[in-house]
Amino acid sequence: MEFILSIIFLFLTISSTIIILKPFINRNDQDDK
Amino acid sequence: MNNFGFYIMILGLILSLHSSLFFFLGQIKNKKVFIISAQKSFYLVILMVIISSFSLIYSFLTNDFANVYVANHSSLDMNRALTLVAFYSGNEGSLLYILLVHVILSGIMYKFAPNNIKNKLNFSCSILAVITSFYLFVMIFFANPFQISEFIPNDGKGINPLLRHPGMYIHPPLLMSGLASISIPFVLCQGSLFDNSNSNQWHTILRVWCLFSWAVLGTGLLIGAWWAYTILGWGGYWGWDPIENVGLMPWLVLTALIHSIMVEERRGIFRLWNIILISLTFVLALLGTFINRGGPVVSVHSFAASTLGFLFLIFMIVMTFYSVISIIYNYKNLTNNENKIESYLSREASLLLNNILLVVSSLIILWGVIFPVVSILFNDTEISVSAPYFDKTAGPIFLFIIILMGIGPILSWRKTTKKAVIIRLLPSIIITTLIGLYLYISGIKEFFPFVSFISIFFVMTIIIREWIGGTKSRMSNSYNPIPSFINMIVSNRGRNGGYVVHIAILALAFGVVGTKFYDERLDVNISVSEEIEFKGYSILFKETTQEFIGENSITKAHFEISKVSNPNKINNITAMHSYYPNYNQISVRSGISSTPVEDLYIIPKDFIDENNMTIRVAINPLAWWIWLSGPILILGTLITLWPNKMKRN
Repeated sequence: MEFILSIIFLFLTISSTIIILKPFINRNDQDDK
Repeated sequence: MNNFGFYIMILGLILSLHSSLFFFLGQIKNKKVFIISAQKSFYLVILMVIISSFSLIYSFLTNDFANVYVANHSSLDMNRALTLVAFYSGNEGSLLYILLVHVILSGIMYKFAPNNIKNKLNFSCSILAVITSFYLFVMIFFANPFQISEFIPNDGKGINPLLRHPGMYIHPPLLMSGLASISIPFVLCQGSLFDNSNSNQWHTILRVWCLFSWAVLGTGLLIGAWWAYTILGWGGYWGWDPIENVGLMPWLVLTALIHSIMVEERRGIFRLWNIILISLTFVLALLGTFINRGGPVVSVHSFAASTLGFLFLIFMIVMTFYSVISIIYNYKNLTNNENKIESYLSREASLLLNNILLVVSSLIILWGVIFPVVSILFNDTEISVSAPYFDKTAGPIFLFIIILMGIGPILSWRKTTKKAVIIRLLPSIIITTLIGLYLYISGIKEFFPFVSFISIFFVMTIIIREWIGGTKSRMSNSYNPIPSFINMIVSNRGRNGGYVVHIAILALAFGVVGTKFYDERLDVNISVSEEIEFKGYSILFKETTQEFIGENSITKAHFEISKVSNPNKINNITAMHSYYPNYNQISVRSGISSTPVEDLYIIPKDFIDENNMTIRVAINPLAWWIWLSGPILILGTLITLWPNKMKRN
């Protein structure tokens, strides 16, 4: 159980990081205008 | 599962801090990419809080007594249906519950906000995320619902006995949701400061969220009163307890705001006043949370008491400071409208008076709440303010508000002539005079209840007359009044929903006046098979029975009630007295026989032995109407909030 929960937590952490950083990675300078 | 829930909260805190910072930076630096990133984390926080909440519920369902919170608020013999109540029955869990409501409502508000408004909500969302971060910070560092104990008990302490009542499924969640939801209209108001277009969409969205908070908070307060009436066993429903008052104060100011938004919508005035009102509501809601979490005043609502008062006090001071600064900063923008109140006989003037009365009543209650603290500062002794202070100060103001409730809606915007007012009021004045005469002859001669009753009937006749007039004007194509009436209600949902809510307030006032001025009480020792008579009722004490649920003992006293004038119609009622050794606490549940005219209310005060007991018998006239006001209030709010699309369909 603890192992599965650790995996879920890791998955949530990594995917959240990717989701919030993605707008910066796909950044297009024209967006700011 | 506990570690998982805790770490998810930490993840939630990081995300909400990110959301708050990037919404703010996106707004001031005008960087769209920052805002997109902040939006993602704003929604992700909701997911994290939902996962944390489910983790706690899972711990309850699996009786995970390694979790300190679960061990303190649950037990093996606890009915699983009470899991939800147990979830918010203590400090840590209720904080998580408030946060859950806060993030879900924030998400709904942002998701469904019209696009042109959404662009102006960056700063608002930043504030919402700050609030989220604050709650997560408090839970992570000071009130962790996932704290693990080194010693795992075989059984938990069980849920607080006073909370084992059907009302507990609705009262605390609604009250907490109502208080938590006030942050939404607050931030919307802050958002509107960034938009100089004064678009009507702001008013619409603001009104919807204010009405939502108002209805949720109001229903929560009413159900709390019902819980007190049926379980606390003191015969009343409202004790002017600090926690009750801190729920009532924002509700009163919110009532004022709902009315004054209409004026801003129609006339463009009161903008500054509305911002002040919503800021005041928000600060009062925070004050409620502060007092509830270990504030300086003593309350019977000690379920969520803690030592966290200082954190909430700091947060409240910061938010108050922010509100004041934001009002000062935007002062010029808020006061640049040239429209003014043109006549004292106008809708806006009556609404202004209504606003002033509501705010004054709220401040009077606030003074009563903080007076014990003030008395310590100046006098070194704590002086508590009791019910008569509130009754004597707020009571007459509420009466004025009720009278205004009748007169205000019949006045026109801008100005009304005296003649028009008299013509519209005359039928109601005549009918009310006749009712007044009847009441006087019936023996209602005391000044305050007499004036209250005729005011209630006065307002009621005005509403009925308005509806009859509206229905008649729509009956030209139909002879059936029912479809015409429904058509009339639907055609102006805002106004008619408001009338329905006014009827709910009248029902509430009717019940309050009846119970306050005409209740009768008798304390008596009674033995099994003994019959007593009290105010036209015959009360036969049939027997006592005893049940054991786990270690808890429940003693029930069974009574047969009949009217002396109609002895064949017998009603059985049961009053209960339970002892919970884990809490060393007694819980009393009254036996109630309720009719629209009066309630017969039996409180088991003391079980002397198997055959003898002391009871308090009370007659509470018109109490039934107080509980009727709840469904009417919800109906009225739903009519007002029902989307206009239905009409087009």
